[in-house]
Amino acid sequence: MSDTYITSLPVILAALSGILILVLDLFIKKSEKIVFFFSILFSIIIPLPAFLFYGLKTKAFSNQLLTDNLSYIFLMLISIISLSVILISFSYNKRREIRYNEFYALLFLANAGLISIVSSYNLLVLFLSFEIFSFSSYILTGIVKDRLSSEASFKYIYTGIISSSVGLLGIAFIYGTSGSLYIDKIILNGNYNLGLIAGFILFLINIFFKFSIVPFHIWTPDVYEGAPTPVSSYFSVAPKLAIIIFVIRLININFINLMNFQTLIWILSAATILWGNLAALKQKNLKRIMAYSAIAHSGYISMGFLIPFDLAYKYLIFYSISYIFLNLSAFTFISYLTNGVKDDAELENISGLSQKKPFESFVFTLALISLAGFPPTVGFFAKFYLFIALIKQGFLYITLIAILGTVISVFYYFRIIMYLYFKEGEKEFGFDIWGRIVLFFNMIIILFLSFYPEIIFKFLRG
Amino acid sequence: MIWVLIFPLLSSFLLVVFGKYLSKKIVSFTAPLSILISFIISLFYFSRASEGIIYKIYNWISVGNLKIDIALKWDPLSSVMVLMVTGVSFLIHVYATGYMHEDKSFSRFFAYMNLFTFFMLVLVLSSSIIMMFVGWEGVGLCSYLLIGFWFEKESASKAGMKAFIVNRIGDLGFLIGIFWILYTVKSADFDLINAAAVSGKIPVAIASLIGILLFIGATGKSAQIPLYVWLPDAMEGPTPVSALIHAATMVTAGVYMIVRLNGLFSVAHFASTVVAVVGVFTAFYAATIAITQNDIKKVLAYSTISQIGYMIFAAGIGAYSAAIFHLITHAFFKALLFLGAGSVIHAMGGIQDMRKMGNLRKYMPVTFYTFLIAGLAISGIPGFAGFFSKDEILASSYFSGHKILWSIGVLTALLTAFYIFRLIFMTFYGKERMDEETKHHLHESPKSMTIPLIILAFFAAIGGYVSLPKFISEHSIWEEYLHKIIYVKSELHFIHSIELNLTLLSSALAFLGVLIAWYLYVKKPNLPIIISNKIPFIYKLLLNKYYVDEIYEFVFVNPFVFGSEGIYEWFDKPVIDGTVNGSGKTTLFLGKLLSKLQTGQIRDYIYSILFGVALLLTLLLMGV
Repeated sequence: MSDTYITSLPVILAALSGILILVLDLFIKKSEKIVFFFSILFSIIIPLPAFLFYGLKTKAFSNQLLTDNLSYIFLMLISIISLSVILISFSYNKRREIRYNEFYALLFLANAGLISIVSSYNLLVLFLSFEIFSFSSYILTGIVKDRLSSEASFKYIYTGIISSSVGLLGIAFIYGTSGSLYIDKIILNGNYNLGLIAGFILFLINIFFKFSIVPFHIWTPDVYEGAPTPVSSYFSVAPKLAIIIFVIRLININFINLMNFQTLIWILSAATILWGNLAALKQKNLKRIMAYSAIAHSGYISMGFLIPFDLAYKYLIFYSISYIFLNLSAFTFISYLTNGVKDDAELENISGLSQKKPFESFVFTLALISLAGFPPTVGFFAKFYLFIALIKQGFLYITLIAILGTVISVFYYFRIIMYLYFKEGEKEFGFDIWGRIVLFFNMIIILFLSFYPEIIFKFLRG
Repeated sequence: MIWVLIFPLLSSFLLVVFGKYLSKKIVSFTAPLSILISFIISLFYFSRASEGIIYKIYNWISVGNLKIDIALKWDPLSSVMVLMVTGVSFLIHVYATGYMHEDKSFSRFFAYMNLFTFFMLVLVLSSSIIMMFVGWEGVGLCSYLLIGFWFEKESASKAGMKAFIVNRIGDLGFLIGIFWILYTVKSADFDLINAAAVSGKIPVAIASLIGILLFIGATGKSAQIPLYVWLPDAMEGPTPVSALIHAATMVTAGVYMIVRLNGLFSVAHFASTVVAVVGVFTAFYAATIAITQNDIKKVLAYSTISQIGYMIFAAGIGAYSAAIFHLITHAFFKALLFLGAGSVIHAMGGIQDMRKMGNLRKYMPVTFYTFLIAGLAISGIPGFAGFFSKDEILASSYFSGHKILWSIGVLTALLTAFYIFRLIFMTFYGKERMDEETKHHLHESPKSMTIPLIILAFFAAIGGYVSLPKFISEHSIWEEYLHKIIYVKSELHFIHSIELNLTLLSSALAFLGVLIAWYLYVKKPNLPIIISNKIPFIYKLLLNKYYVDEIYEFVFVNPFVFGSEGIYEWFDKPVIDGTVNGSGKTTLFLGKLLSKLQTGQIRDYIYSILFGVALLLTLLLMGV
């Protein structure tokens, strides 16, 4: 196969899956189970190129797209994410009367956008990929017929458009001052004037927005709360992962050091960590708590943008993998907290649930403990590696702030556990088989990675 | 060796997953059995411990030069601890099968108990401080879960939270200490840390700082001043939990940690002095509170704090083997005291107030006699276990020149004998003060509860003979066994004639304490009230535990609550209230929504983005 096909195959597969699912509904009546089945099938097919071509490095469309090991790692992880989102949304869609075919189709289109972000090496293609993802995500946020969801979607669109236009303005600045849209060429050119740097800052603001960095995070709690919970689960991991991979590519060409962006990232990370963790303390809704937790984690991860490529490659991917499984487990649990018409994810409602649902509560607790960074769980190692690498690079103060943030975070994560185990309540929620399967696999992976964290590095070494 | 760990873990896992489907009979068979197997395995391996073996399982993490293995350390110290933990844990498990029989969450209880035992074994068997921390947190987690086990009681879940929060403060110090060790020694292995400290690779000042940080962790876990406040509240948990976790095993982890790092602590003189002073003051302070409490378990809780104070004191003055010696004897007699108290509470139908008991020896002879033995042991009456270990600590402190601390320790011995016999006399002697119905139900506990009592009583009586006072025999089996793990050997010379006099003095004080208790609570039972009325200020101060809870609440809790309220007011309220107010009328007309949103927060959201844009560009222009 030619390079062009190999490079664009993942995007094409994802986009095609989305379209096929939309079409499927036209021909088959009562297609719910069939669509569900095909969605699972497609999410298994999409990562196949990763297994076939791992190790290959290909470019296409005059270097606007490229795929390498980073893209393939992303491809595998995004498929795991979308597979678990599909599994848990089966019953969720039923309970909340969401049009499942649209839901799954949009999910695949969002995936296509993200895969394309990871593969793009040209600012304009990158921008377009972001928009593909964003449009799907706006609709996914508002796909439930209730006030909270519509409102969240509306806020998301409004703020999203503003940040996109800021980003586009940045790209215009960059093109105007450097005459190119290829990041590596611009950087290697060496002509860093004020216009170019300002352009990059505006361009990064769009990324910071999607990554929920303070002060561009403000949409996050509302959207996570209003969106259907499986979608929140998707938002909390998938776009972040894509951005992390993209930034690792930037680090590879020494972008952050050349542009002198260390202080900028330093300040924003510190603000994000503190804001996210402090604001989470008083929340009473689980989805909002997890939203602020996601903001705080964005802060930890963006600290990692300060370390050099070889370390960032290892430790950021480790962090992402751990974060993905932890967040998926937590959100899977929260997805089942509905009472049919609406989400019922208030903290009080899980009082004493550990008695009725010991296994599900255990996995949720495991995820929370690990998110809090408690030794010896995988979440601890993720932070441990990152912090050690940062200290070795001389970033002592930001690491201390991050440790402070971790200490604060313990309080809100453990408050959830307190409710789960130490309070009494009558509410009962049913878990279906798919939710249990997702929780079970997440549990296995979390435990395995806790006892054997080095395996990820072994895998990354090849 | 790893099998010691696997059985409790496996049993706990099975109980969590299949607990619902298993009958109480099967649970009450498998849960203690798994601990018994661990006990037998460790007995089997006991002979090899004196050489000190490391069982490496695999390489856990490696960052740069730092490599941390998962490995078990089987040496004299850990072997003694493992035998104690599994042995006592087994007996308490058996006891609990009787005590918890009526509880609806029977299997959940044993799942936690097994898990606790597993983590405690991890703590004592670990060869590196990181793995020890794993056990340290693990036992903590089980402890919170078990304190709040009856979470229907609000006080129980509050106590669980309190234990959790107080321990976070201690753990923060502990963690910083660990990271500092990693930073200076570049290893987490106990042997390497101790060796580095002894050979002078760690500067003395740094060693002292690390020592104090680690000790902050110990004050949390082992309930010492100033972080002891959680332990009395922890008595809200079921009594077997109090016996296992909050008396015999987990709370002594701090002592174990100091002894494990004795190389570091013997170099860090300043830290050791702090440890010794805090230890002996805690011992005295908690004993004074214990003499006024009326809740049978609260007395025992303060007694535990006081006794751990002794151990910490011993570790601080460098008498490491004496510290572990007292740790082990204490495990026997304090577990026995708690289980006895549990037996009493069981018979009294849940009443814990000693003022409502009395003359129980008539109804429950086995409980009474075993409790009496434990009381004699903790008071330091010659011949019983506590006598030997406490006297060794006091003698060591006297001969190492800490005369002031020694005198406080001796005074505490008097108080100890008094409060424990006050408890015994109030509970088992005098008139029956309970109501008729409770009296009617009084009964001796079932065999599953009394047999563990008898076995523990046996050890509480004879456990001290492994280390006789120096004036009787220069050779102590105990000290020679633990000799290997001590890095800086003490060169104390015990002068036999003085030691004999010291022993006579402390024995006399112990008898005096018993005598006073007898006089006040059996001979003249009205006297205590008269005395407390004569000195109301001191009595109230002691009864209310020096008002420390209130002071902490005022100094630490309130500002924190205030601070987070502030965050709530400033950040969250506008956002949340905005959303909630909006959802009042559920009309879904987009027009209304639009107007609502446009005049409302969306504007603020966009401001925040534009603010960020402006901020970053300003930063750029400022050349940051």
